[in-house]
Amino acid sequence: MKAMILPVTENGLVRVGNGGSAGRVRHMLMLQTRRFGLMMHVDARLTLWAALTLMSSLLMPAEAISADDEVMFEKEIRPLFVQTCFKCHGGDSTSAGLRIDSLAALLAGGDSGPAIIPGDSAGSLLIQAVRRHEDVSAMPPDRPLPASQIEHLARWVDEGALWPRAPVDEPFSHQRHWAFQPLTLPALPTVQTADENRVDSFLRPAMAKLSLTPSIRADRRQRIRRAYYDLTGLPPSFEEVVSFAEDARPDAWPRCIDSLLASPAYGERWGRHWLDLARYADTAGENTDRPLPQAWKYRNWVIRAFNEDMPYSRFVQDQIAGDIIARNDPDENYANHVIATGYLAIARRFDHDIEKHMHLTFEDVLDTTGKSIMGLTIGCARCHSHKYDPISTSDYYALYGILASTRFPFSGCEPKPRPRDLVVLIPPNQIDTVLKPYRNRLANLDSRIQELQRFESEAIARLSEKIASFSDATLVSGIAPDATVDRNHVERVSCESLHVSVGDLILLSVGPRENHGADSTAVEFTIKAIGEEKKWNLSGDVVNHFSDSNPTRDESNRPIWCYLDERQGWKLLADHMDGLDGHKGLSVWKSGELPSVFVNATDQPIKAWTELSPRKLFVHPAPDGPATIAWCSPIEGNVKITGSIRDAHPGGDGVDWSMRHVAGDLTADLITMSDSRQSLTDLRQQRDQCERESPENDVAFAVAESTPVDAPIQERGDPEKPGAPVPRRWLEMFGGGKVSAEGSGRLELAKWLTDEANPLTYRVIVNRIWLQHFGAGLVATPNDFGTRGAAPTHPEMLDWLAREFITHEGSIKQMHRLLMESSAYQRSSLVEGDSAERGASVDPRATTYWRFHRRRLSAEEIRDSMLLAAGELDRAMGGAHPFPSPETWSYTQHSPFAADYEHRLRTVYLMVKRNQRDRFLALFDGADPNASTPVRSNTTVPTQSLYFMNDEHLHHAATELARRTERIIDSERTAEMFRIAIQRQPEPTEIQLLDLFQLAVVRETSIEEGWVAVARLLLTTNEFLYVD
Amino acid sequence: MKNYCDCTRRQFARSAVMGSALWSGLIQQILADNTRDPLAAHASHFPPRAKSVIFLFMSGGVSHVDSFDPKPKLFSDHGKEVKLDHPEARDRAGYERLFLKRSDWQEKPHGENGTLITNMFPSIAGIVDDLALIRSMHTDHSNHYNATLGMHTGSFAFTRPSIGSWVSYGLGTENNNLPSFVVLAPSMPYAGTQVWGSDFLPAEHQGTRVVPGAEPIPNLMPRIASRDRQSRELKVLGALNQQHRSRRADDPQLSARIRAFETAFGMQMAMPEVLEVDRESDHTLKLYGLDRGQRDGFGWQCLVARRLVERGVRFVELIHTGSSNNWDSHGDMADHGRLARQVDQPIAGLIVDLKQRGMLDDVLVVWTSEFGRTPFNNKPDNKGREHHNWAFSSFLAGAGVKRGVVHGETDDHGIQVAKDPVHVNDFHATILHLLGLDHTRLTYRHAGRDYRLTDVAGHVVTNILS
Repeated sequence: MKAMILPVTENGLVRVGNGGSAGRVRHMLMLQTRRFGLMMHVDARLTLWAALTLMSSLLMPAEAISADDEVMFEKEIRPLFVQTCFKCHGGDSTSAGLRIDSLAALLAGGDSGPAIIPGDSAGSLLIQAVRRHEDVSAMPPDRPLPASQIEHLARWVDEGALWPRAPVDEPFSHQRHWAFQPLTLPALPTVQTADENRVDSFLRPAMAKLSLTPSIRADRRQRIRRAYYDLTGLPPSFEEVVSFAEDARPDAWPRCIDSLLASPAYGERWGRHWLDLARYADTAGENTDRPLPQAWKYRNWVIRAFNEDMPYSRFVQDQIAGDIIARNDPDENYANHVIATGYLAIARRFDHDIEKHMHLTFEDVLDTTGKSIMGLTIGCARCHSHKYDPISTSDYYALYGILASTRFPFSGCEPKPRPRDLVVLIPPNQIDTVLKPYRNRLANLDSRIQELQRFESEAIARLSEKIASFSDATLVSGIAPDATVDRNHVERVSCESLHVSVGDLILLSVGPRENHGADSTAVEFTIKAIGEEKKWNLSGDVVNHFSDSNPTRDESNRPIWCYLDERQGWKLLADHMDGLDGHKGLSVWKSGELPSVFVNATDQPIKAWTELSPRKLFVHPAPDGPATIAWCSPIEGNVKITGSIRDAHPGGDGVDWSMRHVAGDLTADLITMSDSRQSLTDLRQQRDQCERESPENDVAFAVAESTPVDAPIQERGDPEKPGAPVPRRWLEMFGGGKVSAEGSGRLELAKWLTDEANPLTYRVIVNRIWLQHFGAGLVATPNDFGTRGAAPTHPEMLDWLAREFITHEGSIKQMHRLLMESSAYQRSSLVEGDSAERGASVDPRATTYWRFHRRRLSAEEIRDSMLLAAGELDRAMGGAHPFPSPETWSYTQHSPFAADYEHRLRTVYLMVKRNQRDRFLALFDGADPNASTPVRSNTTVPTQSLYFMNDEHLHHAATELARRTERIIDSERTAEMFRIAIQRQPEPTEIQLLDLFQLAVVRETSIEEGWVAVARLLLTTNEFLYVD
Repeated sequence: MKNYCDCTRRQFARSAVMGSALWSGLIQQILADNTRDPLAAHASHFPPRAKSVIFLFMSGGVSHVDSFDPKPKLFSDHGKEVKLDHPEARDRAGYERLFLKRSDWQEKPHGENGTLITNMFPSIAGIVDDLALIRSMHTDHSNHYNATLGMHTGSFAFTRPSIGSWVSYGLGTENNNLPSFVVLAPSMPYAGTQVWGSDFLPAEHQGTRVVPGAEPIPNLMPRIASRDRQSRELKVLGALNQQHRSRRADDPQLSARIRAFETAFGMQMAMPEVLEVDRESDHTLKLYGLDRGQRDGFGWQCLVARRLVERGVRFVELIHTGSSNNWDSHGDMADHGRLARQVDQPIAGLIVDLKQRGMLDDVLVVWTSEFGRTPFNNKPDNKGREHHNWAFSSFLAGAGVKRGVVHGETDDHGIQVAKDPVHVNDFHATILHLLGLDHTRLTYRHAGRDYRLTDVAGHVVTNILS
């Protein structure tokens, strides 16, 4: 064997070739060592030092295993050994002398020699055994491993058979991490000047260290614009700017802050910050992205909580355990407490059948709760004890048990379409009294409905019996091929002449073929009285005299067209519904789900599961029987019948169809049936109405208590591999307090989270408030205060702010006052004045806060400001979204929920989808509705410019802005638009430029277009989009 | 890559504003500004083989045993019951009794190595010597939504950046008038916009969707009819913004936004020019099976893809077709015939065209679906096939890829991978490798940890590298 040249890498390990990992080489050497002795293969160029390093690395084979290799081993190899081999080759079982529970054991091997040769899968007995080579015993003996597992195993051996050391329960060194320590009691630096406050005194030292002096105070317009946008997300009016500028009172600034904090717009801005953290959305995010029609109640609760300045601990507690807290609070607060738990309930749902993936939803809850409330990443511990922070897998499943003991509302999903387990907003002790009258009414209606149903089934039996005695002749039949074979194929149905008597039926049935119950089929059916003018056309009659009755009636109230289910006796397709899937003018009659008959009564094609042509009627057979359309003859005489059948949905194997003639008068029976049907429909409508009006309908997408249960650890995060249950408790690092036996433990969790001794919660929230005012957090990673997060730039101030916050009972408004009254908040963002030169060179990003930061408006602020400038912003509070009613939902992964609802309310009230992000919000860096967003990103891309150049909303806003000023004399109009859009008096040069521009546009277009162009320019400027 | 398009953004902007004396001073001010572009091209980890990617995604699940992995044994064993040895088959509803189903397509050896391919894709079969066929693909999920997400983001449940965004993030773009990542999709795919989303990567890396038809990109069509007028408006805007910036010169965002308007102005013209395929010769249109004047169909998507990479776009994805009316042939496999006819000629034409132009040395063409289809059914006479994630076929062609090779194999019935499995993560790792990107080093720090397209898995399929 040739000696290898082993270059030594920086960390002293050896590497071979280009791609070989250190571990792989180590094991190749180890192998050679066993066979030939080490030194003969070490090239002379290998220094003694390197050789020593090499030797020591050989003695500790698992020292340098990479994170990826470790995850690969834990994901693919260890589970395979444990599940497949350990029974015979693990622990005390040593079949054939072989154990497979450690690398040493594998290398030592069994009766046949070493089980593996690292780096050489082909030569390894273990691999030969699983590949079932002829000269070794095949393993596992009963059945071969799947190919992928064999491949993983072979790859693992080839790559050096790296075996990570078992995790050792070392005492956490993280315990010294700053954020896990109790709040310190910092010495208070003295406040130096009259216009500074305590915040400034904390900021001074860092600035002094760099010999920086603070920048000048921003002018009054800059300050009021800053305060307005920061607190309300909206600009001040020009008049408000002027009156603030002229307010000579010494407390003008605090007054301004107070008035903004009292505005309802405050909650709409600051509530949105919390909604970012709570990954708020109005859809569930599973494969069909179903609507959450009640999510808005939680959204509005958050907005109101900010407006009411709800103490922060209560704010958090309500979101975790509001339903439990409500038990000891007056009844009138019950609904609000329950709604607050929407924070947990709106967690994302996953996959096709969401109930099979609740472990992922729970991860989302734990991850979001950890990050948003404590700045702690807990999610990682689902699969492995956290590498960096002291959160173990058992911590994770201790909290998981709390969620497993909680009933989450069910959003619905493709296989289980309807929502359930929503929480009624009536206090439990009132439910009986409140609901009694309504329940009585319902019971009464139910008994009448049952009675009618009995009557109807008897009528069906009579009718079926009667029909059996009539002659039933097939006139013509055939097979209509699937549209994939020939998209334009139309089956023609015709009968030149047929004698009918009054009450005879002519039936057109469309049924499934061998596969999958066929598809939507367009049907035409026309009957003409020979020698007379009378003609009956199915789609014409149904579309023109649009009627939801089945059968349809003519002027003399005779039944004409009927839709039937012939599978078990004769039944009219009785369930009627308009607006299927939210499509206006799409009406369906059905029996259960299928068969069904539906009509597009509009003049436009409807894109539903397939494209449905306008003014057409369609049938959809059931898998086990046809959908039938019948014409009930009102005449005696000869008729000519024509019709057509066309597959309207490519895919499948076409349909069988037949046309029959049933002779015998069924008019009376059909009328009876249809009348009883009508009564039944009326009763059901009354019942629906009654249900809709019921206070029981006032529900929230919220959680409730369920049966308390401790959750087992899931090995490697796999719910199919439950380990030992972990008692529900708090994180070990904070004492691991136990929950009481009766409840889920959410109440305890809420209290632990908000405990004043919790070192994270209050630091995290004051950091977030700071971040929103000053553009960057004192801790730059607001969702990660763990050991991987950033250290605070001003630790003493952070702790002092947290203490102040606690002292003021968690008042966020008080914190705004404190921060905004500082000099730091009121500084200019411009690099101007005496201090600027040094500041710009020493601390250009102003991490010492020597000057203020400039920021771009958020997506919400852009839209709101545009609407405001256009005079169109509706300042009302938003409510529910106009989702289609859940009874009509038939969303699938093929055709998910994807509507948009426009309005002119504030942007916080726009409906937020998880899987199809709103185009505008996505373009301007809106929050991620799938994960807690601590800081909005801030991109500047050409597609945003295209929006400002060409979007209809921007152009519309400009038109409206120009229209608002049309009564103003021309010489003042530019200035007026400027004042509205940018809230300041324009400079004379600006007026000149804009007026010149306006004239140039007018020369080519019209006067009005000239003004619109000026308005457009103003809405597009950087000054409009940025806050100094 | 040689610059296939001779007009640069700057020249373009200049020409567009020339001749307007009134504002010419102002435009000089705008052009004087020179800020760094977040999408500027940057170096790969090691010398790349491919400079750009055309990713052809067949939505719904293409049957491998009816196309690129034909199984003569399915023919002889047609209708026989089969017992599966796979953990996912245990107690699986619908898998109680399963019967093998033969293909309705005929296989025949193609190319120098006599690779067996059916007549479902006759044109692609004709160029098999240009392809590296992978018959041992497998994926983690048998649901469209999750498998589609997996094929695009490497994650089967969570929202993560898509492969095109990762490539854009890794390499930037070579044409500032166009986005770096373009998706040509007539309708929405399974899992929606997540398929081309940038998630936590900076937003400029998200795919820009082009929809064949009147408004291929939102707001691309100038709303001001006269280009001169729009140009003048932007110049005045530039002047106002420069005035605003004069006291704020230190702020790179303000200048970046001034610059972004310039690029957007260019895009309004550059993008429609790319989409205007009528300038192509009859010969070229014929290669793609396109009629003159046609503005949709997969042939149009393929030809536009070539025009995009020609102009320096980094990653172009073509989706055929979307979340409905696609390859999901449960009812009858005959539907595959209709769909194959839509893509066969255009795909072969694309590869031939790239080759004729010498571009196949720089462009990587990828063809895949989210999974395959079952070689069996739970009734012996079912005409369709169901979702199958244990094995399917994909192919690569072009830059850095061996020509005319077959990698991996499935068992006799095409049910499981028998040799050299290639997981979606491996597939991604290989694509990144060809672009000069080490998938273990292409990371982004988010929420406290480094994320990768391949998460903690993925091995480059070295066998197919030339």
